[in-house]
Amino acid sequence: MKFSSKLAASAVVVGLGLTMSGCAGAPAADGPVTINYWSWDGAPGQDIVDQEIAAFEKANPDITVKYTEVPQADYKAKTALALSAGEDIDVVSVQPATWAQEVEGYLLPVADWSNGDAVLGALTPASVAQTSRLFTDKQLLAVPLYLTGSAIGIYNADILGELGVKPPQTWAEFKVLSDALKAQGKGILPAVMPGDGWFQDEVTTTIVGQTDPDFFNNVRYNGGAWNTPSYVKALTDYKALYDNGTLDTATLDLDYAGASTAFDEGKAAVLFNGSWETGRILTGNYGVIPFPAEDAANVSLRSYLDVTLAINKDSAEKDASAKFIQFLAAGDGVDIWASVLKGIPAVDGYQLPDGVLTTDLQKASYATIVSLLSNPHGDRNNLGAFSDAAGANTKEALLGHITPQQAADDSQAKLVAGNF
Amino acid sequence: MKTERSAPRKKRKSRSDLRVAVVFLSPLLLVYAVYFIYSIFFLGETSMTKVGISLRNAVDVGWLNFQMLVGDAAFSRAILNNLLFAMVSIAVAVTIGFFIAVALATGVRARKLFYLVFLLPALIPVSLVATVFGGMFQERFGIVNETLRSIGLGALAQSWLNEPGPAFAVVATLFAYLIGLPIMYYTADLAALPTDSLEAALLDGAGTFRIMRSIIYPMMTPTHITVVLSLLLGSFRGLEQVYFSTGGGPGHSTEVVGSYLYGYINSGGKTIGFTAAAALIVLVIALIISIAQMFATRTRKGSR
Repeated sequence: MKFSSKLAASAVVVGLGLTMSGCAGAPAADGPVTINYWSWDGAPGQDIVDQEIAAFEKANPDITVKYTEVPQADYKAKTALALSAGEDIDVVSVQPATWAQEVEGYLLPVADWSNGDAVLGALTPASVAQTSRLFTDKQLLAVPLYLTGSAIGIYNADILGELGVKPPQTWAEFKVLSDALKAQGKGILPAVMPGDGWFQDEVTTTIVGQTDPDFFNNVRYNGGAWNTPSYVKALTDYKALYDNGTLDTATLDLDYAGASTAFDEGKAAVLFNGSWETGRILTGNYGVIPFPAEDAANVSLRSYLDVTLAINKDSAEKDASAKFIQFLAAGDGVDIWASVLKGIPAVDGYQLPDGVLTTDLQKASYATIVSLLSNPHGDRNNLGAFSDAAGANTKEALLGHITPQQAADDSQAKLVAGNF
Repeated sequence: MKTERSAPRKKRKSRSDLRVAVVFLSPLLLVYAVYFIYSIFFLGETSMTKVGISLRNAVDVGWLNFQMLVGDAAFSRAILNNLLFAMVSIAVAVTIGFFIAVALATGVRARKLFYLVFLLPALIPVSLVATVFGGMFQERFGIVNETLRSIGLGALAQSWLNEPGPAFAVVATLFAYLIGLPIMYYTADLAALPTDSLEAALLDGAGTFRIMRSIIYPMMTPTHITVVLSLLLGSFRGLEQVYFSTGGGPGHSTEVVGSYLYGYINSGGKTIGFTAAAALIVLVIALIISIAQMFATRTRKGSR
């Protein structure tokens, strides 16, 4: 009996404790709320998001934002599964690609946001229209944050200056740079880039688009063929750059980090990558060039939305979530991420804050990026794993294991096989 | 009379043993039924659909995913590579791994240090080992080619990761490098080896290598089978060895089932039905290997 009394007393204490802690944890109707925000690394990245959250919470002391950053490679699978499992996510970054339709069933239409009209009113109509095209029946389920494009070049102005070579716009000019570096004999490479399949696909589609601007959109939206004569010619031209010594096949096994490190360490004059790397111009004497073309008049790239933001339709804090998104996409938060040049904001008429670009080279480079992204030859609305497969074929052609025609034909076969 | 009495007693004991076995095994069987059988059922159902990672709005496509897999040379290559890489790691494990385990069991000096050296690769994350390998073998800046150039052997510098042959050798080396687990298996079973045969051999004047080859090696047959099976089946779970070194390239020359599936799962498209079908095929292959091993083991026990 003695034992039972103790047990009963303990149960009462524990029960009361649990009840009280439960009451303490439950948010009051108009009290502080916490929202969970999920995104991938680089969109715009932990360091920047931390600054965003600090600024937002300072302006909105009744809202706490908890951020979960998932590596980009795992984001699509992990986030889709988390949403389907009912994970407590309020604000979610949506990758603007085929994945958007995978998660559209979990997203709250922007029309149902408490501030939807206000947010949309601050954004460019073109970026909003692009966002709506991501979803079935063009129902707007997210708002755009910024645009990026690929491919571009970031050059080391010190290296080019020492050689007396101007930033190349054409491949003929780039060959001058390559020859000058060889003559210099310091072992500096003309260019590095990620050798990963997906980026080799970015490069090839950039080159195709310079002479056949409709190529990618035709494949993406109209069921067009991949193995067109223009694609084969682009791949042949790209391979010729390695064959004639303009580029070096020994760099094709560099991954993303390896290529960036080689450039940072001054082992390469140019880093080819996407415009999301433009922030590098703030870290050294670097400038931006378009991805070269045979004819300077044709330099261009594919651009598209890079990050869009949505609200989980099951969120218990929809208003707070909408407020946070407005801050990030159209409010004071824009300056924070835009100032590190992650992308071109979707905000209508946006101007970078004074003091971000301090040198003429930085200003000219940013103008180049804005011009390229504003006049793309196609949408960078990629096709998931197909890009990896097509890029792997590109690499095989560059290494001489297969011909450009075989690479194009194999990619076409994969495109229509249906397993992507 | 004694026999007549002991028969029902044996029966009762047998029933009692069965009850005990059921009591102890039932939690595991329940877990097995819930997770394993459900998973296979889920894979089977999903493999007949075209569906994305969210598993929403699945479209029934019948056997189409299996048909695509049968016609996909990359998938066949991945399975073949798994078997080839397994063969390499098995060959290394049952020769070098066995030799190292026996050598260490003889009580050499600094035995613990050697164990650490050989087991370490198996204890640190494979992704890390593979990433380091990938960096070491990079053509332009990798330490392997840099070293060759610095000692005047630049002609031997290779495009290790971009040419099919060298890339295959790099991944095979990675698989073989992780022989720590087989060494552990051998070490554990060596400790339980009956010593009378060894003593008899010593008295008969047999040398170290003769004892190792003619006595210890045959006596370790069950361990060899365990090592072979674990490496064979383990190769089908391999992903990091390839993903973080060659990425499956060039082409699909080093692709394994793990890297093949991973690429599709993370594509963001409606590829989950396809990957489920691929996983089922791999499961069947693994099952065949396991059954073959079971028969092989049973025959050996019977012949003793």
